[in-house]
Amino acid sequence: MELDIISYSLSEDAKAKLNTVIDNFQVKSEAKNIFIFDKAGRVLVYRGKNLSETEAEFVASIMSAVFFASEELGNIIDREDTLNELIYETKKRIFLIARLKGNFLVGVISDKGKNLGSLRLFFKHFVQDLNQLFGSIQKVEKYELSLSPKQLEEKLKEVLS
Amino acid sequence: MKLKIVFFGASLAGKSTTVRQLYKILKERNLTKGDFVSMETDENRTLFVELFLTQLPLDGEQVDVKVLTTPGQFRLHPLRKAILQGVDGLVFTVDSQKGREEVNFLVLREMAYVLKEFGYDLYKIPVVVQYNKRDLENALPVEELQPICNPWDAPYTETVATKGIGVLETFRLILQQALRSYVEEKSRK
Ligand SMILES: Nc1nc2c(ncn2[C@@H]2O[C@H](COP(=O)(O)OP(=O)(O)OP(=O)(O)O)[C@@H](O)[C@H]2O)c(=O)[nH]1
Ligand SMILES: [Mg+2]
Repeated sequence: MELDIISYSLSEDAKAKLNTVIDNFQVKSEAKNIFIFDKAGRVLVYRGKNLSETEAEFVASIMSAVFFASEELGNIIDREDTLNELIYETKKRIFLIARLKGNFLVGVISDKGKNLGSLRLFFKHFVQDLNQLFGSIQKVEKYELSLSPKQLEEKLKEVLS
Repeated sequence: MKLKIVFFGASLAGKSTTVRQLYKILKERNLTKGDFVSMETDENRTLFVELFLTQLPLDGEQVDVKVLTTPGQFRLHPLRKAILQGVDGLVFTVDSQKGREEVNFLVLREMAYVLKEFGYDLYKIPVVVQYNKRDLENALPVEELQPICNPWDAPYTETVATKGIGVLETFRLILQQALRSYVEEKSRK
């Protein structure tokens, strides 16, 4: 099986474009946290200051689970229905999650107090821009481990026994 | 490199106990990153998910492994499905007790449906079967459980999750399974 054991690798050009798109959105929306991740919750990009890399992984995992649980919810009512965008708010924050092309998702967390209408609009454009990029991004498999199956087994025994 | 490993199995089979013990063992070895995240009901049943991150040094490379559990209660099935997205390896936690054969099997069958829906090849997905509660008197012999619970003929472990017995071995085996196809492909190049 071609597993999802993939480290996503973007070309320098794609990376630069992605950064520009995120910068644009961040400036306009003043969003505090932006995550791009795959459906398994693997973070591809995290933008924001207040979370560690580990916390960003937790957030992405839960955002992915919440998104797909909400889709299940919709499907109980109507099997043919699909979910592309999920928006909810807490007392202090607004959460926006959307599906992107190629099994990716984008999540945004913004403080309340901003105009929700314009935030939604900026988000919509952001998703469109990202989709344009993700349509052309190549998923590159990076072979990072250079172990034989036997060496792998021994190495795992060394670390985990 | 990032891996997603999910524990599934019938309610009360011992998934949460296993994963908590695993977290404890790995934390003592400084192999965890951050806390143990848990969403459970008042009766300590898993409501949505439990999750932690571990980072293992392998061949100079850091392999990040996200470990998640699913809720076993039948009515929480839709949440189970949400958590399984993009899974790289599965541990099937089996309640070895007599009388639980059917429940174990039903969860397995339902997992097969979900994976099929995702477009996975059920027989190619990396799996380890964890026979838990081996300390109990009414635990069925593994030979009796194997035909029901291990259609893959996958590697299996015998565990007592409450005492942490066999927990680390289960984790090691699923990583080995999940990474195997990857290194095999690599060594062919
Ligand atoms: N005797 C014995 N009891 C165990 C063992 N593993 C788990 N238990 C007990 O079984 C009960 C259920 O364990 P959990 O880990 O919460 O089960 P679970 O699979 O997470 O259940 P759900 O969250 O409902 O899906 C608890 O009371 C545990 O203490 C074991 O190896 N031996
Ligand atoms: Mg549980």
